[in-house]
Amino acid sequence: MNEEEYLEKLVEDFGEINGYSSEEKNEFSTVLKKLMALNDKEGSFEEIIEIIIKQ
Amino acid sequence: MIKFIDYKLTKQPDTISEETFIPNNNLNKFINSGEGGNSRILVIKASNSSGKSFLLNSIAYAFKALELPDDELSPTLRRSLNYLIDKEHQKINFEIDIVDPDGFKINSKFNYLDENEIRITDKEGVSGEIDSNEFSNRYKLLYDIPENPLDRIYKLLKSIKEFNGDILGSLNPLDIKIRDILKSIKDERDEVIIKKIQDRIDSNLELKKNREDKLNKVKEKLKDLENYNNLIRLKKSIDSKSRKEIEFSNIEKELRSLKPSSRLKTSTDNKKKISDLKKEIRNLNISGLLNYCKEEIVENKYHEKFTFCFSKTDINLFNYLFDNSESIVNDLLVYDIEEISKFLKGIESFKNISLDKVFKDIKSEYNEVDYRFIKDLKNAFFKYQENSVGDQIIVELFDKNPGLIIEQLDVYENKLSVVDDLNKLQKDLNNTLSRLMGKIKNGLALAKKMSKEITKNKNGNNNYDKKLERANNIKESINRDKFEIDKLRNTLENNGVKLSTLNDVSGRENLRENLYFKNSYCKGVEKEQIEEYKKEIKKSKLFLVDLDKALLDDNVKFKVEDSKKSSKYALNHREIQIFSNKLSFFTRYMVQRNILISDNGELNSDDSLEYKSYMKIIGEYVASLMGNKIIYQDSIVEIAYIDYSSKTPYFVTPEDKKIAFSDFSGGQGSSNYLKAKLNINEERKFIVLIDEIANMDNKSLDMVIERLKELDENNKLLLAILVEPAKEPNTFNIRAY
Repeated sequence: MNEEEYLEKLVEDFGEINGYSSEEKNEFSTVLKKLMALNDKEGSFEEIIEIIIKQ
Repeated sequence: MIKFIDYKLTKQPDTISEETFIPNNNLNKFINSGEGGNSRILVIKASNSSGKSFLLNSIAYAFKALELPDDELSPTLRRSLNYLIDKEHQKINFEIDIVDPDGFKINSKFNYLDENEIRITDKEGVSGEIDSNEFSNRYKLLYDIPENPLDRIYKLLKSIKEFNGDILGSLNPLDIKIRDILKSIKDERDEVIIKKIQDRIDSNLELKKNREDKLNKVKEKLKDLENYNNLIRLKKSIDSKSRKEIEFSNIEKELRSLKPSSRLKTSTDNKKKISDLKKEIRNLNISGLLNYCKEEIVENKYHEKFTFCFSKTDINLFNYLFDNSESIVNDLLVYDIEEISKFLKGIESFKNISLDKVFKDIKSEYNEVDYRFIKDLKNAFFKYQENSVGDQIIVELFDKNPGLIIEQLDVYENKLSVVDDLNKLQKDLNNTLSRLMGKIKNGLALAKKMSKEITKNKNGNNNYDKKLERANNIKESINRDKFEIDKLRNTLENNGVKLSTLNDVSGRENLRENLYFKNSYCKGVEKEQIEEYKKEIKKSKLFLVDLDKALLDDNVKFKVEDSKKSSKYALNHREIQIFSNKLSFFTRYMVQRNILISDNGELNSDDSLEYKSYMKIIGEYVASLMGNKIIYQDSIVEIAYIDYSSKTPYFVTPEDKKIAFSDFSGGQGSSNYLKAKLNINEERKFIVLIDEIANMDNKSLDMVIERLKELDENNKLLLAILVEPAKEPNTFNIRAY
């Protein structure tokens, strides 16, 4: 299990606890992974917003 | 793979025990002949004291093993390394060259002069020294000796703690950034806020219009009431003026038929005294009190009953006393004792006979005796109830409970309360008339003084002088009336009454009549209504001032908000806000779970249901570190996860079979532990040095070798040397995989 798979499992568990639907869980996981990758590259505000709203 | 290795070890240097060691021939031969090919996995099996542990220690020291944290280097190995570099005990010169799978050449050497450097030479032959940080960023040194391997499997959780730390390290700044984004969007144009302000302005404008309309209506009603009052005052003043003009004209005629008296020159001092006394008489406000009494009688709600009860004599007396309020003042100003005495007697008679009779008549109609009885009875009931224990006597006497009796008494009391009103009115009128008599008597004393001052300067015809004085007084009074008339006309004109109406008697009368009907809704309580309207107007004006302030504020706010530039992201504010909330919750979720693992990898057990799912996730993670396979009872067993929820953790197979940690042999445990440590997801290349693998059986060792090969195939291995002891003496064998 790599870091990405571990994170996915955490999001799944978090989503389950908070009553998210599968779609919501996937959406949150995808945006979160993209944002974390962007964060490593110090992404701009615009890039962050685009990722959140495009999902 | 190792390209070159050389060392010189001098034990107990400069002593008789001094001994020197160099690499084993088999090792030199293995490296120089290229026997191992490109293999990076070597297993050395050598007899005791053949230098195999020295070799591992030296390589480990060369690659900065002493800089590893405590949890990555066992105390046994740290002790061995410190012993290795103890110069009093031994001197070492060591050098090794390894070729990186990506084509770099790594050279590391150290000596007893404390020189220790690592150099990297790239494919173009450019060489440079790297420090220990740079080295540890590229390579992961795993130097291990299997000790209590099962305990250490438990501690593999430390890598999860690090994982969590990495994730939280990304989440926290991201959380802050997104909040900043939301804040900056908030500072941009917000149509919702603009609409809200606009709606508030519209609603306040409507409210303002309604309040202004209402205020104007109240003002109009107040104007009608004031105009009516002023028209009555105007009529009185005009009538008074006309009456006085006739009187003045008659006196003038009489004066013409009389002979004027001879005069002494009036001194300035004397003139001033006379003028002051006249002023004092006028300041007694006798005519004001007379007008007040007249209004109280004529305008009260019982006026009709008054008229009915008054005799003709009473009515004549009333007209004599109150119709010309200036008359008695004029009598005082000319010191006409006869007229003044007559007037005083008239007042007394009106007060004590006429009014007293009228009030008695009216009150008898309302049965004052009943009223007193009801009031007294009610008080007696209350007092009795306050002091008595029960109501038995009342019930027996009246055959009703006291509550019901009091209710009926209230009804009677309300019906008869008009008697109270009449008593108040009577008291007020009696007091005013008494004050009036007092003031007239004061005025009489002042008039006497004034008369003396006047007669000081005059001789002869006293009658002529008196008439002249009266004429002068009437003229002054006419002038005051004129002044009052002008004032009232101005006020009426300012209140919207046309000049043509004011100039015409019938116009004034018609208007007064119209206003009388218009104001009939507050008949008898006009004064109170005027005060009420004035209060209402004041209140409304204050409200409108506050409303104007609010409108002004909102207009400024609107301008500020409206001037803001629109952001293309403003519409997505909600969407971003929702994600931001989720992210904050997720960060909190991570923090709470991360606390379950201590910094040194211990699990703080929490068997609450909320954390059960997370326990499974970390169990799955550690199982994956082991490639989801373990050696158990000579077989390879697939595992799904590790169950950390009980005191003795279990490996759990996909079929849900459980294998307790405590059921493992040391060798199997070592193999399982090493596999987990050789994490395929590690981004750096491994340098693996493992001493004393003797307690592993072949299967367990094979599983470790398999994992090393897997790393090698994934370009994650620089070098692996595993060492085991040989029972045969003088043995030093090297196997390459």
